[in-house]
Amino acid sequence: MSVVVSLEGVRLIEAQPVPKQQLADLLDRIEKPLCGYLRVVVNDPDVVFDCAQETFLRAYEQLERGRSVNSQWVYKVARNLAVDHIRRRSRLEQNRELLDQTPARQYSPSDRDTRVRQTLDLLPVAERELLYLSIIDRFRTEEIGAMLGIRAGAVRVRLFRARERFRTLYGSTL
Amino acid sequence: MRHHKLQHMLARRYELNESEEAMLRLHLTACETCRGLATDYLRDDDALGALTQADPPVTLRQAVLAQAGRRVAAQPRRISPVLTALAAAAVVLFALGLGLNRSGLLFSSPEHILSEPQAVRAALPHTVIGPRHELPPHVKLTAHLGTYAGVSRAWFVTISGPGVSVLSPEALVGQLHASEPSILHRETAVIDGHTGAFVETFAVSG
Repeated sequence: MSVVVSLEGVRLIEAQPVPKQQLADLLDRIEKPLCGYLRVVVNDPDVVFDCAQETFLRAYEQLERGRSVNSQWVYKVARNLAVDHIRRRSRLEQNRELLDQTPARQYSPSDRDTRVRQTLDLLPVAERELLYLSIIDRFRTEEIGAMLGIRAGAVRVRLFRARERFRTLYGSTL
Repeated sequence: MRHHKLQHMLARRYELNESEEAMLRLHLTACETCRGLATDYLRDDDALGALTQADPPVTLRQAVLAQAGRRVAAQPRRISPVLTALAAAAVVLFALGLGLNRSGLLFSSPEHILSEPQAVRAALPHTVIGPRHELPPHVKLTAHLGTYAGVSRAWFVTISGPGVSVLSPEALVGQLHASEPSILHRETAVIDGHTGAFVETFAVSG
């Protein structure tokens, strides 16, 4: 008759990064492009900081629950936070004449940066972010569609419109 | 293909496949308007691309990492109704199983299980310690990580602390494999606050 021995041992079979390590990896990967995106959308360094921080903390909560977080998810959350901020700011501006903010002063960019940012400021937020996501971050139109909740075909039409508007306005500054 | 469709393709040139790019190139050789547009778009891409060179706020990373643990700890974890239902079902099944076990219908007799630490120590040349939750708080579990064939693995483990011997997992695992162990329990451990790993408890037939 066989005797069963209960043996309690410890074996480490595969290392899994814990959420904090995953968060650090996420920061390494998309902290810079995400802040660039937020800067284009909200134009205010303090708001960029707040939105980015809140986005990464929400990502951490997701990771803590064992859920995966990809860059599309992060952009989507950041975008929602930025849009909320823009809505709040719009309400404020209707009541008081606030927010005389010129990004050229806050970031001390080059002349070309200034022209590009001033041109972007003339575009609607939706077109600004579309240009950033496609031309700078190189998200495919299908991915952008998933982030913005619209079809890829609509993204392509809007992207063309945004590019045309930017081309005309930026070209006139040269 | 119609002219305006090719202009739309030009606007998203970065994602075109090879055949679309070839079609566009062919059109550009014949269409001066689109050549001008392509040149302008390249200029715009260059100007927009330069914007990414700005660094993110220097304190962002530190602030995020510092707050990450605190905020999750401060928030009560939401438990989904499905999980609650599953947990309730598990309790019922456990109670049922306990009843069956007492009646001798489910599990093998406890007399055949030797779970004393002496039995464990006698079975292996190295000191073996109990499950992690039984470890005293001063005991430290350290994993040295390496990557083999693209998979990150713990290849050497030390368990240290006052009065605690070093465990050699390779020897342990080798013996366990030879005995065809069955995994009784699995849990996730956090080692050094950075790396998680599965910790298993084995039963060995012999």
